[in-house]
Amino acid sequence: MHKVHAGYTLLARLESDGVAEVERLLAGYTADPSRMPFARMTTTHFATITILPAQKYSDEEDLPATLLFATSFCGPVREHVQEMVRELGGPLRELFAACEMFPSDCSDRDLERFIREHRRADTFYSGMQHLTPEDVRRQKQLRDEIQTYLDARQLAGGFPDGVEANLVRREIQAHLATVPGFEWAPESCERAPGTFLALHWRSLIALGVALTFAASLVLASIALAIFPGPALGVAVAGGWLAVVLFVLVLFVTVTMVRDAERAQTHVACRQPDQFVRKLAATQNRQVINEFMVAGPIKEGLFRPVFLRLMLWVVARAAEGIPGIKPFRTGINIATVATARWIACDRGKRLIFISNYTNAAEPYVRDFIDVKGGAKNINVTFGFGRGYPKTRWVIEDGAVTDPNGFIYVVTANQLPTHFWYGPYADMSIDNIKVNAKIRRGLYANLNEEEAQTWLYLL
Amino acid sequence: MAVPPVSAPVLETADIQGLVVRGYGPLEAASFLLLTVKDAALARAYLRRILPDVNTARVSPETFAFQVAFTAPGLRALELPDLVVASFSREFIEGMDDEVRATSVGDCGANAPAKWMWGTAQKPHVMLMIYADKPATLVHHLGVEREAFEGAFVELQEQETTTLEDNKEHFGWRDGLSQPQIEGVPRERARKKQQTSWTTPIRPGEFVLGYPNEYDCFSESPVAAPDHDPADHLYTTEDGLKDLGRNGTYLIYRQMNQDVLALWDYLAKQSREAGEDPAARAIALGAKMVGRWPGGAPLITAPERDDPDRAEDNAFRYREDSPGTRCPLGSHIRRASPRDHLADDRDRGESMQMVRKHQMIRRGRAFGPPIAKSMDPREILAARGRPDCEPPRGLHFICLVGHISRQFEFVQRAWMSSANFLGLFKDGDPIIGARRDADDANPNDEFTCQATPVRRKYKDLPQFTQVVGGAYFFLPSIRALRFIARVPA
Repeated sequence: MHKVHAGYTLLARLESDGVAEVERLLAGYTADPSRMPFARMTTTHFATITILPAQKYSDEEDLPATLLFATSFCGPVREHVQEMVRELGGPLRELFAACEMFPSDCSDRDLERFIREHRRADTFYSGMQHLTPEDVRRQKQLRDEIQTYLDARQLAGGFPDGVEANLVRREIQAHLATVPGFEWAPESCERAPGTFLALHWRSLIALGVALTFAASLVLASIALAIFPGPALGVAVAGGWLAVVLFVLVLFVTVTMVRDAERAQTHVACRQPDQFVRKLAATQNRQVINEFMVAGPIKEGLFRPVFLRLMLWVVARAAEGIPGIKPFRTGINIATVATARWIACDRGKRLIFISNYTNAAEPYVRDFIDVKGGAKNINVTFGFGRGYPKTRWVIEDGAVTDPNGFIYVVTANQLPTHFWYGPYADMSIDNIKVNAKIRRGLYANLNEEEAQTWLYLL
Repeated sequence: MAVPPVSAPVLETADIQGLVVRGYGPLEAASFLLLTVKDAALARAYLRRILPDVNTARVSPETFAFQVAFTAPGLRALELPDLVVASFSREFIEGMDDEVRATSVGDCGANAPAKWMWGTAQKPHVMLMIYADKPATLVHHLGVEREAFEGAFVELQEQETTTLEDNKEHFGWRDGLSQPQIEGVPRERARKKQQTSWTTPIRPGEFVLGYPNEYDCFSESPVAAPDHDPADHLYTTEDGLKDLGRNGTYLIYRQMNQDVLALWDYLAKQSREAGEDPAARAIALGAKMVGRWPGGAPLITAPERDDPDRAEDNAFRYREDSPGTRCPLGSHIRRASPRDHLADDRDRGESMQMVRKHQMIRRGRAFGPPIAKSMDPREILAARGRPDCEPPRGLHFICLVGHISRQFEFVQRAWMSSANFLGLFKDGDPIIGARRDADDANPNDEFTCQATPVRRKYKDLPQFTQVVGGAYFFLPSIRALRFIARVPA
């Protein structure tokens, strides 16, 4: 329980004749998923393998055709990579052989090195409750067994009126104790020591550095006023100079981005119906689907830098710091299992991948259906070429032109060549409910809490 | 024609077909004629002839009303330029029977378009909706119209309607109790209903094209090139195009058979709800499935028994009943509009903002004879096994939306058909849900009745309704109708 969730995003340029070969391989894996056996892996919730086509940035710079291999995984990254090499080594060699710089006759060590060297930073969000795939499967089995027991009780006349909720819960516990395969259920669900740090260390460091710097500067300035001295004076001046420089750089960057916003001419329009229909047909599974958009960002000298800065901020927001009021609110999109943004090709191409409940278009609308949602989405999608004109990064854009937002997303949507998503009958809500059932089953609950727990069933 | 300002959302009622603002309830006799174009020129001539008779939203008619709507194949058959038809929404062009769309909204199994009586092989082009105060008036008008469109159209179907006692539908529940109020509809109409809503009036663009919607923007609207409109019937947009959509709307029509006896059989045999006799227990389970008692009172405000004083209640919300012990999470009305409780981890305000973007104006009518004229559930129960219960009966489900995908299709897919709505696992809509095949990985044939201390589960739910036809129509404005009919300048 409580594994760190992360995205592993590998990008590798394809050889000039690699596109057709990778398409052929991925079609084969889709037809026979046992040839790319993610199901054997214990660390992978979802996986996307596809081709980013060759595209143009600013109508002049080539963005190369690239293999994208992205997993949503849990646990230490080293274990995940080693498991990939162990379980997927054969098909990965087949795939990567079409990429530049992939060594022929590569050993497991070479393969691992290639996987590590081609990993790219992503801004990742997970709604998967820090569970492993095994947790998800076991918790579903647990829920199913409880339901079977309750069904049998119902057939036998049900529980008497007025019975205590905790008594019902104890009877459920007693039943589970008689069923083989649920010996794990009473085990503690408490977070292991160090989980908090493992989940939030980046945000804690960022916050710590910022607060330490600010506090030191204020204290040093006060000290300087009381005990003037050259060394302290230089330190304080340097500190304030750094602040001024930071503000100045930020101001210049934002101003440049604002100029680029004013100069924007291209806005995406409605895409051909056949194109959209074809995409929709690939995302028509009943419960969980996969969604990917990738395309060049808007023109502007500072945009690639600013995009990466924004993605860093979004990553910290997604991570949040529970317990510290202004920072505790992580991103919560109720329909999303996992999602990530990647700025690749030196920040000139933006990729978004998501595993979500629903179908593509209503899912995309989820982002902008609530107040503030459209502003948040401007911060990331707003960089994409064809996105409706934003103002100071967060204003206008999808706020004033929701149709344009849908158009640009559709225009940059790519069909995924291979997708692994094992939870065919479970929405992200179901996964959350199952986790609550498992946490509450043996927890120390008062009568009211026990009744609330029973309502989950 | 210059564009009038639309910042103040006052509907141009003289240009909008009346169905948008009224269901013509007092006009109890109605028929819908589904037609295909036989001769485009004659068809347009017929449309020009009926133009003065098409009722607008301005005045409530007393004896007769006439509305007209078109499908995408119909607009093509009437020789609208391809570019004009292509500017309509993708959903409208592809149609309700499109395989991808049908799969998405859950039209599978018995509801699969391949099994429909009309809407797939037999695609209607035009629908004439005729309402009258008396059956004789209706028959007269039907005769007049049939004579007038002879040679222009071929009649595919006459969809007869019936008005059931106490505004009920065939299962025995009062229908149409929760309609969205449209911002900009004259106040006297809102007052006439004497009903408070769970939310403030909805922006008119959600239901009529050319007005601000809940995003404070305009929905996509079909357009024509200026030279397509030499008579200048249509408003000109800021882009210099002609706005064909303004004051029009999309009309969704699904013909749905209702197996009334199957429902009441199930309720009578399976109910484990409280009640002093078997009929009361059956009714109580039916109420749980619907979310209202047959008389209309919602379970949220009348959890124990039907209460005529609460029959019109519509201001209720669900957040206080988040476990669903009063109104089950998977009940029909809770799925159709979850109001302020879209998910436990969404706050009330967010839920309402989202749900307001998925509203529909419903204008359906029943068809077929009632099982019991009184529509009293006890009489319906008693009628089981009677030989005259055989003929098909059901509902012409009709709704109006500004955006087919965001409103109708979203509600069908994400709320009504979903087995996983609000964190449920295998529940479908207990009343109108299409049951998936037994070997489907995502079954939806259960109904969970949340209760204290623990839920009651109903399994192996049969399918009580069957979609037998359907199509997406465009209900044009009067100006657009003139354009389609090519009325000379």
